[in-house]
Amino acid sequence: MRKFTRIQKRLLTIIVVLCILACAMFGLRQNSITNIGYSAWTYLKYGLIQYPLSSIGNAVNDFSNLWHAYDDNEYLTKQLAQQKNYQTAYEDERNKNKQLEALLEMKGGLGDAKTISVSVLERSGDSWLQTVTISAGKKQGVEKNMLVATSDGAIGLVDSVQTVTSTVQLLTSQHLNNDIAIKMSLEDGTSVEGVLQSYDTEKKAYRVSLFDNDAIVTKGQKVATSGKGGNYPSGILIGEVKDVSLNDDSIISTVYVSPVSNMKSFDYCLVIGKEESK
Amino acid sequence: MINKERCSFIFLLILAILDQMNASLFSVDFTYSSLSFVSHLCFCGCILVVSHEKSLNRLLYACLCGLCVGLFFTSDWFFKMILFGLFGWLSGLFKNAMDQDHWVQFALVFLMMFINDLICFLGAKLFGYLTMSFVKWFIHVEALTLIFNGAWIFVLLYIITVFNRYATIKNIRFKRMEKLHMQNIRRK
Repeated sequence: MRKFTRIQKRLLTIIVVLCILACAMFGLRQNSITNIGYSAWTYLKYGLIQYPLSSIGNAVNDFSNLWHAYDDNEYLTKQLAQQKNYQTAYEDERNKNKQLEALLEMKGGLGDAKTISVSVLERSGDSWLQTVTISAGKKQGVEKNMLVATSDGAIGLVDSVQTVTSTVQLLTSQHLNNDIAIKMSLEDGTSVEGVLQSYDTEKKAYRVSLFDNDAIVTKGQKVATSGKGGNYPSGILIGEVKDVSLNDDSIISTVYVSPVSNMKSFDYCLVIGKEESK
Repeated sequence: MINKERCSFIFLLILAILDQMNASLFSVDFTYSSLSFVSHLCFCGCILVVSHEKSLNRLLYACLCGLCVGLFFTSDWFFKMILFGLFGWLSGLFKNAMDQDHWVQFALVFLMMFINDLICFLGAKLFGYLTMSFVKWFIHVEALTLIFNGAWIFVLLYIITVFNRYATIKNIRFKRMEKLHMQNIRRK
């Protein structure tokens, strides 16, 4: 008989013992008496091998999820930044929409007057209160001295007309090329007429000279176009009376009229002319 | 002097744990709708480690390895013991060829791993545990298994080669020290 070496004997012993152990476990698995032992062995196997390994696996998964969270965060940050841009764009469009709606309403109330809807093409910073360029010219039927108004009221007169654009002289410019005939309705039911001559930069109001110096003018009274002497209809709001200047004989010398509220910033406006100017 | 048996045992234990980790992290898709792989690091490591042993030794080492893996990590200890033992013993038959070239060593281990999987597949099919076709099994499980373990065989070969060289150097140093020690005793 062949003799085994020491290491072979050891190996054989370990294998036999383990085989017996495995067979015993397999054979007694269904026996209710050994349930406790089997459970203990299963628990030991789970606690020593499977649980640590599954924990490592979970840790790796968590780590990979961390990268996903990082990616999600990056994506959301970008989305948030874009959202701010969208918000600004939305606000801008909403303001424009409001202006257009108000202009449409105004257009409906002008009756037979000739109206041309335009947008502001250019308003340079150095002549912010002097001129603007609008998106309509001869081709659209714009003529010199037509009134330009926003939804709040008149803001200027057409100064020069090109083919598809026009330059508007704002009423806030220091020297108006043409006076504007105005009319004020008084409390007693009568009205007084006058002329808007220029803009006072210190008082930030139009200078208006009245033809009737005895008229009773109070602050807050509405001033509108009279439709006489210009290429525009009557009843377009110019502004409200801000101050009244009297001379030595307590006769009205100048009435100061504050401009309409959205004079400083507007994107759309109406070019208004008389019906017969077609 | 390095205890090779102990180091081999630790090495194979680490590989078995790595197998389990891979099984936990990349579990096999039993619906076979996607590709999966089975890690055979311990099997490949065992073949490489025992191939240089004597005939009976490698059979016993491989059987013990298969038994431990089957008993402690999976539940097919008998089957694993037989397969590990069989391939462990077979690896020694190609010992001379394996010593010549690493590529031959790789090819033999790779082939044994594939035959091992094939036996498992055919056994499962024979006993009715599997109903899928060979082609579907090969595409969905075996292809990626061969690629993954094929790459790892090179890593294992490298580790074993480095360890063998280190053990040889250590042994030489130990013998030299022992020789010097003996000479000193004689002088006295």
